[in-house]
Amino acid sequence: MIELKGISKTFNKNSANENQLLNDFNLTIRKNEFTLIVGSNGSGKSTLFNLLAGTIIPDSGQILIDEKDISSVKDFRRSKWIARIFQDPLSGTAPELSILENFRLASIRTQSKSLRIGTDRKFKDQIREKIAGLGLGLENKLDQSMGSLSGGQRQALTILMATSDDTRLLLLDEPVAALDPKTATTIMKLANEIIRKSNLTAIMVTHSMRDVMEYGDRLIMLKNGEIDRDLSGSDKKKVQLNDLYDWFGE
Amino acid sequence: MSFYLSAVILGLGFASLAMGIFISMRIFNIPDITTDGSFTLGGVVAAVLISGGHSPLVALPIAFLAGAIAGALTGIIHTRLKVNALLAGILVMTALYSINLALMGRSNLPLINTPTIFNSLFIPGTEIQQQFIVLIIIISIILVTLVWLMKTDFGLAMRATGNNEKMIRALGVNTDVMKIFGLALANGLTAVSGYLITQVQGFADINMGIGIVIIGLGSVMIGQILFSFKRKETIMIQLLGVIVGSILFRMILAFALSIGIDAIYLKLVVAIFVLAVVSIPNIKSKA
Repeated sequence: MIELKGISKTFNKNSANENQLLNDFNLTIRKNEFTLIVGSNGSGKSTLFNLLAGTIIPDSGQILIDEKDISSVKDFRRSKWIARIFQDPLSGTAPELSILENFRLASIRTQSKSLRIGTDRKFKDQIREKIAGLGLGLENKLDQSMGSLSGGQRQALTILMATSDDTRLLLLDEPVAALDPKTATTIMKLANEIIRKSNLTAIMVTHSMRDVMEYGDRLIMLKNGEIDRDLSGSDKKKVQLNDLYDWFGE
Repeated sequence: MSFYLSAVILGLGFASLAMGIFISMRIFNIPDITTDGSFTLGGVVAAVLISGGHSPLVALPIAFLAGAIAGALTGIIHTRLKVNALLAGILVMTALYSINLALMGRSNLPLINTPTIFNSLFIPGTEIQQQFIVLIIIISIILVTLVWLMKTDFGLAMRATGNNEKMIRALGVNTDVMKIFGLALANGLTAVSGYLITQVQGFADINMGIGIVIIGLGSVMIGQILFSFKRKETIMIQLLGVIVGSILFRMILAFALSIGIDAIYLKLVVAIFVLAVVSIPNIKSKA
């Protein structure tokens, strides 16, 4: 369970550009819940995401993962619980490392990187099987550099990599927004399958109204740093495309 | 012939430096020019300790450590004090000039009739044969160690730090610490080069490091052109390319001198030559 309690964040405090994005913000994400977050630019989506990822630290309030306070834990230490998928499909992988080496690093996301060689035969077989499940034909290219793959392939592998180690929360920041429509559909479907199959708790920011209709258990709409709408279960299923456009227009 | 053999000896001596530059510039993508100072530091440590009666074998790890500390300082200034990497390197390099001068007590320290790493290992043969064999041994040890290191989980995290910092932070790596370690390793290797070259040439000089970073960079680039790696090759091949690059660089300089180019113009020749090897891949890729 993820809890945000009384979170406030102001940028450029005490200057002419002072910008309070979140004020006493509260949100609880239940275990195994796939939450979608929508909102126009400046609504606080990115701030919320960066607060969860730890790239920005709140001025006040608490962030709890399974009742553990991580509010002041640095981003690279939060990797113990949180995996992230970036909007740029090239951001989640190291291009000059091989597919196998990228997976090795992801598989020890929650552990320290020690002086042992982890890319042994056993690990390779394990990853080959995992990648074969994607059905992209990449299982025989494990030693190829990540940079030689397309953006869509890389993003698919990034999502798979996120499930390689104990993940309490998966953050997806518009994961398919930079891909062409056809690839975006395929990869989004894949992401959903992976999230469901591994029973992940996931939060995804999206601008795609079609994805909102199709995926997720819960829909949160942010407006000016506040939760404008919060729909789960049958309420979310009832949402129509027109409703969404209306809400954005309000 | 012996003219070219001594070029090979120098090339091997500078190979450690070239591998250091490979780590800072290629693996970490940090333009580190602490090199000029840490190379001299390695030479100074060797000259001071050996002329003071200490074994060259003792001086070797101390030289490495001294260089590593200098590199770590650059790393700390760069990551913790948020100073541009180039400037951080220049600052440490400038400070090292005084340190080196203070350590030696003068600007030049000869090693006359003192033991060297080359004649301390009981290897038979003439002086130049001993140098050749010992250098091959030392460079091989460095090569094997680096290849192993780069394959470990720690090494993968190192390579990812220079390759995609955002990603590797999200995977739980403190990239600041990684950079500090990388620069320490790079400058440790550079100091080993200074240590070796000092014993090959028989003296340490306060100015021996001037422009040395260009030699390292040139060697890395020659290796890249020769083995045409666009970083797709394995680390082993890339490092071998760097070593061969370092030897070829010396051969070319020896050739330049042998056809009668005045030694005064040596640095000019080096600069033009490195400009050529650095720009060749760019022109090629445009075509």
